[in-house]
Amino acid sequence: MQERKVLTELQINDRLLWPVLETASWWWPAVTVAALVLGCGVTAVTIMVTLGEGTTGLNRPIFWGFMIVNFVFWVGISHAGVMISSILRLCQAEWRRPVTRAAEVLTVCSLATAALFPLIHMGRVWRFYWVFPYDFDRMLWPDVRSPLIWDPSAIFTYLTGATMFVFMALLPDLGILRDRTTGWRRTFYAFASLGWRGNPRQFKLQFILGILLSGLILPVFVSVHSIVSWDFAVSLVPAWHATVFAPYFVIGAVHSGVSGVVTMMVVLRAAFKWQDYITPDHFDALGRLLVAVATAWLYFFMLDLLFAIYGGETREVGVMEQRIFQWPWGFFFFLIIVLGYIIPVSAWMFRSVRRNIMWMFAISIMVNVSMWLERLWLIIPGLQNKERLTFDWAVFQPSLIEIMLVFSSFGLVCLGLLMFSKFFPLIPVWEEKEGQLFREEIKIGNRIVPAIVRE
Amino acid sequence: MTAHTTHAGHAEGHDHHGSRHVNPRPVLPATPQALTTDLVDRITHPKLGGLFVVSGLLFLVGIVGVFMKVSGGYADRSTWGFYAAVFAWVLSTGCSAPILSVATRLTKGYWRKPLVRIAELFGATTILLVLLYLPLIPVIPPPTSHMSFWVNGSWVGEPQVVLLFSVLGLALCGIGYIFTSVRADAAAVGDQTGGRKGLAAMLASQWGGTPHQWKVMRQGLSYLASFYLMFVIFVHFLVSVELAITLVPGWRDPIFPAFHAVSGVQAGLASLILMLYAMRRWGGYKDYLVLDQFWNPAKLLMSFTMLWFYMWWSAFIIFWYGRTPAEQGVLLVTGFGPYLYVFVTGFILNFALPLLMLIWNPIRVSIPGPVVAAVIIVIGNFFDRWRIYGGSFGTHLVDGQIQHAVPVDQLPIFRMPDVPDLMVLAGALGGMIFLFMLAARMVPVMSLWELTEGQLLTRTKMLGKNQVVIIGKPE
Repeated sequence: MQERKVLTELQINDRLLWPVLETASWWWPAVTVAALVLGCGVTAVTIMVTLGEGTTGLNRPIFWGFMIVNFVFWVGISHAGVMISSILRLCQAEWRRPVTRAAEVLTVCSLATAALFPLIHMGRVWRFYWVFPYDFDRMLWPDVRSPLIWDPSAIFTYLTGATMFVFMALLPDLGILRDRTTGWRRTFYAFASLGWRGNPRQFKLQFILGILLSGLILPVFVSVHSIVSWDFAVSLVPAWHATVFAPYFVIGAVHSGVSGVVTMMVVLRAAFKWQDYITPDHFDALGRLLVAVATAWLYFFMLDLLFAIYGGETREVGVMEQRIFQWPWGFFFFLIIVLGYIIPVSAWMFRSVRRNIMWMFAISIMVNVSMWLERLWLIIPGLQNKERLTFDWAVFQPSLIEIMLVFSSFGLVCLGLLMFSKFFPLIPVWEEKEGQLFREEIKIGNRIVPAIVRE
Repeated sequence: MTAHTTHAGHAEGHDHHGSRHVNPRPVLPATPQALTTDLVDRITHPKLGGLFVVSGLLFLVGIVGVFMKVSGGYADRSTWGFYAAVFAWVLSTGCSAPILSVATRLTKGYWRKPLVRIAELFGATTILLVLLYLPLIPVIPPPTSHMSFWVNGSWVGEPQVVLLFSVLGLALCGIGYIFTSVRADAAAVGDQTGGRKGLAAMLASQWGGTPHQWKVMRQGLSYLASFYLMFVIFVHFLVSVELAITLVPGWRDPIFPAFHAVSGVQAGLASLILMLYAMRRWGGYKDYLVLDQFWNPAKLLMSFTMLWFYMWWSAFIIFWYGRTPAEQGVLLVTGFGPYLYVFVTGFILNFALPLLMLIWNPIRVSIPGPVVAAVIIVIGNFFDRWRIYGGSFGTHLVDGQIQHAVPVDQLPIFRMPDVPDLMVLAGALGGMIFLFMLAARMVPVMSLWELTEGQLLTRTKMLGKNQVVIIGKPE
């Protein structure tokens, strides 16, 4: 980390807490826009629930469409937080500090958004509790062998863990906010900070909790997207029934999640004027991380592709033929490879691109467009496969309702982030201060070299 | 040497109380000059001579074993299953070990400096991989007799030739990686010794230590590290596909090459930890290889142990749920049929036991703990390879007829290894150690230039009541 500005504790407080203590001029307009976008989704759900699922493009045999694609996409984005926060914390990567909180909050918001989609997809939303083992009297138990039962368990475990993770890291900042606010806000922060005083014992316990949660959430992080992948893979649908789906989904999720964090960091940097905190060094480090992640994703992508063809089974080859050569799937295939790997990784190989904020912003969006298309490309053609019985042939054409739902999900996540930013700092204040403490310089010959402290 | 002795005494003073009291960080000679003198002194007076001789003898036994295997003929492919398992085991335990050097060099892990060279020297074991591959060539069936990636068998000599070039490429890359890394050190050795000047001069190849040479060397190392990583993964892919998957009708398992690579890296890490221990205990590097050099690889070893299970489980659950005849056949061939006991042993040694050990802080944060786990994993990896290749090579293929599943009544029989098989196994173990020791006698086991660099970039200071280390990050 070459770019380092020495900041006093007062400066850190001022710069990082102002979005909470004051209201930025753009905040209300942004909230209004996000709420309007979300309103589209609420309208779409209302229409769908009132008129039935016939308003969507779903049909037989294509029972899973945009809603499930969007579910998988947002679960993918939710992998950002743990990847950035937990793994980098365990690896003691110093550059993580300003990035962690926003990534964790993105995890919670996107996971909550993702969890809504299977519920909406059910059509009869009010019967969601059927997935829980509740109906003892009638002896009708959910089938625990079904991945559709594993899904809610995994997602709610992850959501609980991720929320705890955010809360644990928030405690010192809640203490700071409690001391700087008045009225109901002070009461709220005092309650939420659980008596935080910032004494050495509390910091030690919080540190231990952070390490423990980081270690414990990792298996949950891996299991969530693995289980989502098994929704598809344990079935015998051609091109879904592949052993590689679990790691392939997980690494794809990390690819899209970390890219999502890059997008968000650019927006935060510009919106809150955090140029001293989120520097080109952070984008450089994220870019290097993404080169490795994207390459691992391509490896699994190619394995999936090769083995689908290798077996020579007519149904598998049929789906792959459709995915690669038929319109529009062939075009999507091209976009997935080009936007998800070729352009980003070629660009990230250059330090100048990794350190250019606007380039990183554009490329991160490109990656997520590719990742959304990839989910669509994985899910629909498997069901749309033209098998021997012609009465079973169908194509999927998304309806306006589904498009509105996808669109509104971005509004929901943005709204969640905006609301969070109004009540809590999106860059951890205490971590920044700790980072300042750990920054050093050493002199070698005539050169001053940046250094970090290791315990 | 004087400065070094003072520090060393301090480090060893704690050691007898148990590993937790070992210095967490290396205690090196005080100045770069003293460090260079100390390490050059070690290369001119090498230790572990007994191990060198014994491993050389075992290597010879292995060569005899290979000739006995070849003279036994190729008529029955199933007799070569154990040999193929040995080949894959060498790919894992020997050739995958440099990955730690590659990974920590790319991620700039500060604790890597005393151990990278030891990891790199495992690159010499790629020579053994090439030697072991040659007798396997005739036993690999042509792609026309089974499902294959090769289109209609239209190329000449595939997959044997492609595999040969891949293994050769890996060897070239591994040796190139060692060569590039040791140039600066060879020059230092050459400057300080007379007798080895010829070899050192050859390895140094006109190294003058100019800024341009340093820049080129660093870039070269980065590229070679990336190439080596890609080569290892590619060779794991080819070996797992051509020597296992395609030999079992109906085995369509895209995760298997990744599983093979992950379990290979796990075993490579384990063998590296074992070699680190040998160097510390008997090689005279007690002050260089301390807790940090065992604890950090142990964390990675635990992660890879969990990944082993994750990859295996990801495949198993799909086969278990799918339950097509092909999938049932694959499960029976690769673990739940005749090789059940081998599979269970491998499962316990690769996953259950190491995880139970390494998850426990007092074991992971020690020197003997990771070493014991590493021994278990190296053995476990062999059992894992045996159940895979024993089953695959034992599966009957009908010439000219592509089958889509292994009939349940035609499962391979369990084959106990015969004498030549055991000789090959002993030879492979000896060969890996021998090649490593041979390389270690030519170049310093510690990366002189990296340790010197680390020394320049490291300071200590008091932060509150604790002494902390400050590590310079020039890039």
